[in-house]
Amino acid sequence: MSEQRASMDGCRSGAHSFLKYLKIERFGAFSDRTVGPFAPGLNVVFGRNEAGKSTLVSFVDGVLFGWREARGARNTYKPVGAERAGSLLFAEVDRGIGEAFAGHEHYRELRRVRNADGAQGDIELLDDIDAETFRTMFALTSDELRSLRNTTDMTAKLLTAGSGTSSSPAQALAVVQGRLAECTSRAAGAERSVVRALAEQDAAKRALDAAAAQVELHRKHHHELHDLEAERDDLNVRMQQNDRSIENLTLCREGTERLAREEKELLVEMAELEGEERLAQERRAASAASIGQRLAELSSSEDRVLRDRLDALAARENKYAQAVDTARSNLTDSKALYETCVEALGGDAEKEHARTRHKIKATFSIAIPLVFVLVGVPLFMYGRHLGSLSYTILGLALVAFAVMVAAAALGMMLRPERPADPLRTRVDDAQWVMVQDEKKLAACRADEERFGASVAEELEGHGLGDARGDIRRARAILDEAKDVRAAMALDDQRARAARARLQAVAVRLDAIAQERFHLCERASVPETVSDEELEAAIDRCVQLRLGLQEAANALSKRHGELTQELGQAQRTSEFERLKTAHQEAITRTEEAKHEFAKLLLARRMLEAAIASWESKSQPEVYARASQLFSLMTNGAWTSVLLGDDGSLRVADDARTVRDPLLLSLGTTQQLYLALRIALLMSAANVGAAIPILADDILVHFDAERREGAARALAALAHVRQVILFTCHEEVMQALTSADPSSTVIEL
Amino acid sequence: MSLHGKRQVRFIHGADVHLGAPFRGLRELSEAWADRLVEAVPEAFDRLVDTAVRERVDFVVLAGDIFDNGRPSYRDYLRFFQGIERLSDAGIPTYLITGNHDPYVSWQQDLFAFPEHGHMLSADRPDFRLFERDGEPLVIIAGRGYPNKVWSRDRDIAEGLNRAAAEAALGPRAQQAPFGVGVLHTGLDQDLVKAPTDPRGLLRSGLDYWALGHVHRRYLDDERDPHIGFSGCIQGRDIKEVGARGVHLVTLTEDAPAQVRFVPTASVVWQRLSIDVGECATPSDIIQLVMRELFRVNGDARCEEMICRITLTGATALHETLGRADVIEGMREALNNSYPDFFVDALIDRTTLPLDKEALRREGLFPAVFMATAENARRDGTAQYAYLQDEFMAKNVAMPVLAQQQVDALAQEAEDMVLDLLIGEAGEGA
Repeated sequence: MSEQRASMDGCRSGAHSFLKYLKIERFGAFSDRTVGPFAPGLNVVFGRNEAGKSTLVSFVDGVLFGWREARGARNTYKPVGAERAGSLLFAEVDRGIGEAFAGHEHYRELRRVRNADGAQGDIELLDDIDAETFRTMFALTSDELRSLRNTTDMTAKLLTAGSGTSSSPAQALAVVQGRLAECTSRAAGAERSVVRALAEQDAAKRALDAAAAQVELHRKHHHELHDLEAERDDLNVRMQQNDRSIENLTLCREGTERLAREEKELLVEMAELEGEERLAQERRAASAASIGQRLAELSSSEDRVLRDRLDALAARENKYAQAVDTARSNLTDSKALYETCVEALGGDAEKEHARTRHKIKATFSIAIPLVFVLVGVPLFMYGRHLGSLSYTILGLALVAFAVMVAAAALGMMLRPERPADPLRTRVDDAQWVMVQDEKKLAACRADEERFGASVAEELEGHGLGDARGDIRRARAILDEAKDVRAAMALDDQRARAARARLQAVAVRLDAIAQERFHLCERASVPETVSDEELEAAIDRCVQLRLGLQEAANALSKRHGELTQELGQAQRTSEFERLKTAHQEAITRTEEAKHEFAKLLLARRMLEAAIASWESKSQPEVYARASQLFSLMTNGAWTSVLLGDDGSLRVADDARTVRDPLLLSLGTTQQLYLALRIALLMSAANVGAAIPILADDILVHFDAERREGAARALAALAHVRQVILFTCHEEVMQALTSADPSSTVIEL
Repeated sequence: MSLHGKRQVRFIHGADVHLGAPFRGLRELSEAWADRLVEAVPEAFDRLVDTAVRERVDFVVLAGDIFDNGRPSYRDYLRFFQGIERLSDAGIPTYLITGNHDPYVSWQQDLFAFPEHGHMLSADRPDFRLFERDGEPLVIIAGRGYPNKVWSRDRDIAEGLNRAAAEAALGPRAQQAPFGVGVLHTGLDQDLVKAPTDPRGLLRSGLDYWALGHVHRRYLDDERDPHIGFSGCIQGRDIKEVGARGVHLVTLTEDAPAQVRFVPTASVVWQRLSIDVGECATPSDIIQLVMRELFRVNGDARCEEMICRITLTGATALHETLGRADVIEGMREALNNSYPDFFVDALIDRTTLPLDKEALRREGLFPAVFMATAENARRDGTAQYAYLQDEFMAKNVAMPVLAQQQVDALAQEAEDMVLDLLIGEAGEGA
């Protein structure tokens, strides 16, 4: 305790500042006014009402902590049409020696004009005081004295404030508490929050898990893709096979259909052809038969030759015919002549006789040789047989004789008739001519006939027997035959064509059979397969193809999906980033936790230290407060203490403990004054340069208590500068008598 | 390849790729660095493959923990298989085993994706392979993986992995192979929780080199005649895995000791720095000092890009300035903007006011009382711990795992913080 006080006094090396002057430039009613000089100890400012006592207190508050703004019903002391401005002048005093440095050049000044500019000048004077402490502890009014807000905190603050540190332990504790609160805050801005770090870590983990699930999926899909490609190849092979089957079966079906049709046609054709051939052959045979072998086989050159021959024969025939005609015409002429002659003669009977003579002559000329020949030849023969020359010669002579006779007869016959009378000669001539002509005619006719016969024979020889010797007809027959031959040739050709075609057909039928065999073989069906079976097979294959195609499409689609997905997956490093982010979140959480632990330990130690520190000085404060209270109440109350629950209590000598609420106003004020004074005396470091400004606080005290209070204030004045404002003479007197060295300033 | 008629074989021993594991302990990465880190592990794996192809090794051995619990992204998953395919195309077979982070059960969906020359050894029993070059048997590979996440305590994971068993399983051709390589994912004698095994057992197995995985720091049992090695992880993933990371390039020569060369594959290196800034008068002084330190440290690591956590210590009058979050953040940003290959993930202020604590104690004012209280509290550590537990529970927040000395450190920091508040500039409140 004593060391504390020693340290309090010693910490400024003996000298400390005190408020000497108030220099008001403009504030409230004051303008360019200096109040002072104040002394380091007790000062009383005596002024009538409205002299400006409260104004001065507000002025000091304003310079130190800023002019109050007009909010609600409060006097801000703002002069009309001007800015508040003023300064406080502080001098130094050494308690031992007195005013340490005389002369205003050593003064320290605090000045304020505009709030925005802050306090100017020696602002380190403000280092050890804050507005709340000032207004609670330093600027005292009657009202203020009715309580001491936040007793324990204020106590702690003040007590620990007087601890030789530039910021109080309470402040340090507040900072630590603040940071601890941040650590558990869920607010978005709280960077150090463990809770938030954990939440971020969880979020990162969730994102990571989701991505991990993705990655697993990708690996599965990789595998799936691998299998899928194998499946797809397989499917392709099957599809190709199926397509080939369909092709083969279709070919087979169409082929067999076509081939069957063709075969049928061919068979029909074959029958037709055979018929045709047969027909042609028959016709040809018929034709050949109709014109005969020779003609049928006549070649064109032979035909020409034949025609030429026919022409030649025709020419000759014409000649013969012409001759016959000539002869006939001659005969006709001669006959006509004869008849004319005969008619002239009456020639028929002559003719008859002539004829009869003729006849007899002829008979003899023939009969006699004939008889001779008939005898002679056998005789000759007998002679030869007997070898008798006589007989032979005889025979021969007979035959010769016969011949001679015959010749003679013939000669006779042939000898022309003697001419009769000229008419008769003429008739005979005419008759001879006529007979000549007859004979000529006969000869011509015979020639013609002979010729005709030879022609007929020749024609017959040439196969033109049907012409019966008629050359024209023969020619017609030749023409016919030519036509027939042509027809035959045509038939021949047709037959041959038919035969050739038949062969072709046969070959084609063979080929058809082969083709069918191959088709069926390629389609793997037996040759005996029916169309319905083939159709059914094709249908099955088509159905299969549809199915396979669907499957292939599905596979392709999946392949495409997977390839795209895996392609994208290959390019992203999202998963790794999320992992890193997760690890970062973990690290940050760990660090936040370490920070939290550190702050907890700090708080623990600090609270313990504060408690330790307080426990040393707190009793001192309450002891002094009790003392002062007792002094002020004249022993009516003897103790001020802290109850168990941390609230203030008062007790009297008889140990009656009361709550301050139960005290009278005056007593309450005394209580809180006592407490404040005790605290202010203990915490001499707080606001060391700032005076206690009491604005007429003793009004509610009676004379005795006033004395006590005055003595208390005087005690305080030993340690701190006190400036009390009053308008009551008795208060002034009480103070001046309690402390004769006090300074009085009149306003 | 032979050296003076002696046969020789070269291979890459890598492990603990941990594809899919996130980077831990980072506070706040910039966008650019977040992207950078996403690429870091797959890039490290690509470097492994590049090294194998460039050095024309005979084969590659990966000793487990290829994938992490955290599952790699689809892109990284594909990149891994593409890497194996690249090796396969270059004629370099890969032998892999599963580890505790990627046990065999987790691989079953993906085995179809392995190319021709990627061989996964089995996990339910010891497995053996024979490596041949140009038809000549050269190396017996013996190993096994983890079947599921936990390995039973009473079984030795190295059981049954020895030369004799290999020859029995692979047939007479195996006897002609001059070299034997073991592959195992084990804690050895360094991590006794995860399938530990006795190194002496491994040395007796008749195999020339054991390519182990699980421990993330590289290790060789004997630098001059190594038989057991951990290649360590290929890229560090948090602030505890500082220093260079990579793979081993192992050369086995007949009748000669194995040669193991470390090949770094990490593209980003982690560093923790503690810098005393007591001498600095202004924040820019601090920044310059930090930069100098960063360069110095980076010179030691064999890697261009660095993520650092820098703690500023020392008693300095700048303490209050540094106490402001925007100042620290501004300094951190200035550091990050100055050199693109360094990233300061966190700049932590652990400076203190230049307080003369003795003088304060002598003054006997509140700070002295406070320091005495603090010391009392420190003496009763368990009460502090209990208090924290109660408070955390009251706020329904899970308490972080703290060792006692961490609690003490926090208490010290708390004390310093309160002293700052008391003695420093007047805080919030005037």
